[in-house]
Amino acid sequence: MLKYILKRLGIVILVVVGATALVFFMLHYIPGETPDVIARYIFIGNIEIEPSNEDVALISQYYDLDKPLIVQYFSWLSESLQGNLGTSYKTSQPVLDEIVIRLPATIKLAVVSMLVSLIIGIPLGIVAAIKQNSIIDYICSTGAVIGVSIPNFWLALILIMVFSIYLDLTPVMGSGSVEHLILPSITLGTGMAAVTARLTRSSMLEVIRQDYVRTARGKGLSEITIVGRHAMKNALIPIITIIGLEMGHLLGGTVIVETIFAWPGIGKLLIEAISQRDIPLIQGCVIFITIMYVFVNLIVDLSYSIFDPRIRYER
Amino acid sequence: MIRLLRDVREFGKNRAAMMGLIVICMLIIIALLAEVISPYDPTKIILEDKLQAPSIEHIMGTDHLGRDVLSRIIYGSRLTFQLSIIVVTITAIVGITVGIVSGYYGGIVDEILMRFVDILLAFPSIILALVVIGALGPGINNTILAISFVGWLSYARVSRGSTLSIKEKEFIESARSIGSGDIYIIYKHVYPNVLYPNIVLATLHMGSVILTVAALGFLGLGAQPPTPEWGTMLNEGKEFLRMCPWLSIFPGLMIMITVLAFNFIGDGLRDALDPRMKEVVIK
Repeated sequence: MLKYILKRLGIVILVVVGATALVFFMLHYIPGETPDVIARYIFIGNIEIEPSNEDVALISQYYDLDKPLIVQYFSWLSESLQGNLGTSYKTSQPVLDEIVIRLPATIKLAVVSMLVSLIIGIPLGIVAAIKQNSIIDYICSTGAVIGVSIPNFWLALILIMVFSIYLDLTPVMGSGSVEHLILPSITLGTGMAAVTARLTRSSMLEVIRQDYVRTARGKGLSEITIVGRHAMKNALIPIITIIGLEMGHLLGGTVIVETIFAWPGIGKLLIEAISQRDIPLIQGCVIFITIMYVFVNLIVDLSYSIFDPRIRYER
Repeated sequence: MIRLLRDVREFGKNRAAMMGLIVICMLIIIALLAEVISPYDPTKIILEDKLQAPSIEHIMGTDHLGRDVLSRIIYGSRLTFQLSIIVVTITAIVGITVGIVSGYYGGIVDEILMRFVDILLAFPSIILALVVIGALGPGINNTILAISFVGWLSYARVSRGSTLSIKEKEFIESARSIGSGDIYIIYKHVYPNVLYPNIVLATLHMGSVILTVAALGFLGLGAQPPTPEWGTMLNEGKEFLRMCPWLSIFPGLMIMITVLAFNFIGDGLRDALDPRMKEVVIK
């Protein structure tokens, strides 16, 4: 087990290093990022005004832009391992600080959305599996396809329209209270609930055909006991993987949903950084999100083997 | 041939899939005949007519510059289909080629290609698209590049898997023993067998590409105004959510209907072509 964990950890670290290299080279091998343009942003704050030669030289030295890209990458990598992700072009704040301030908001949104998805998706999936091929099953599976087909940004607008504007129940945007969390988490959660319901259904269907469920039924146990006590335990194990699978949806979705609801998280920060072409900040956000994604998936994989002792990874 | 007929009949029995197919055919006709059908010029600004509610003259109302929403949606469908067909074609060709090469030759080629795929899979897909946009700037061409950069991964994985299992079959061995070259074997024997699962993938991918295009447009990073793109229209319309909900309702509805149709078709194809292939996960 320990060997497996170490091996996985090794692969994950290699992947993360590869990912940072990819992001770094993509973002730096572009025509726009010359010391000249950055100097206009930082010293002058106005892209139209010509910077002086000293400023340009200073910038290019400060950001290592005069060195070859590969050297820049390794000095950036060693700096980031020491917790220095660079300085934002726009605000001149350390990138790490900008991200850390916004991290709790994103995590809060992600966790609540995941809960919404599980609370809606798991019961629906179970009911659909037990009443296979019934009208409920049909509605559930159609609903699941609709759920993945609704653009989340549109769902957000419709929810705002109905609940904030017409019914005046929830605030339109912003953050601070629990009420601010309702619409964003419903927006993100319903799309994922569709996926959750689908996976729960297929996992439940598999379990329900097992011998021990037939035995339980043969003993004369009630349907509720069979499902609740026997089938559910095993059916829910694969559902752990949902958390890993949906993490991608979730982190991608937060970018859009945070922007719509003005939720002060990393996703909104990333979009702002992109529209201002603030390269260090884009880089920091992307790498942060990716590392979160990779590590949540790692933890999900590992916990899978703990919850299901039948799975042995040693080879 | 018999297999094909059987598959078509199987597909035809699926009502949701057939409905999806009809919807897509209608949308394609609308997109092709945009000039004929659309009642107004989609980019013509008539400020006197701005923000009108839906009426007989303007069935879906007008936007903040007095442009007819229906006409913009019709032209938007053309753009949406163009973009998504380009992206799906590029990604399918690249992905299938990489997957077959990787699976067929194995060894160090496979190792390098698959490690690269692993690295790309480490990103949530829209985040990687955003990196490309962040590097190249917003716009339609960069949208195509950004989405294609991510999209080929699923094809590569599926094709590699199928190639690996086909490679071990006897008919490949006998083809090799009568002296067929690698290229011939790949073209004649591997490729046709790999194609089937990829057709399902491509259909489902159409839906997800349309969603991503619209999402980038909505974030202001895709097609730029005044281009009539559905996501961009939603982005412009959301400012008027309180007073003019029709600006936000109709473009989103179109996105949903189109994506839904592709997903129904994809599910139907999957059931008809290969009932065992139950969960194709789109990245």
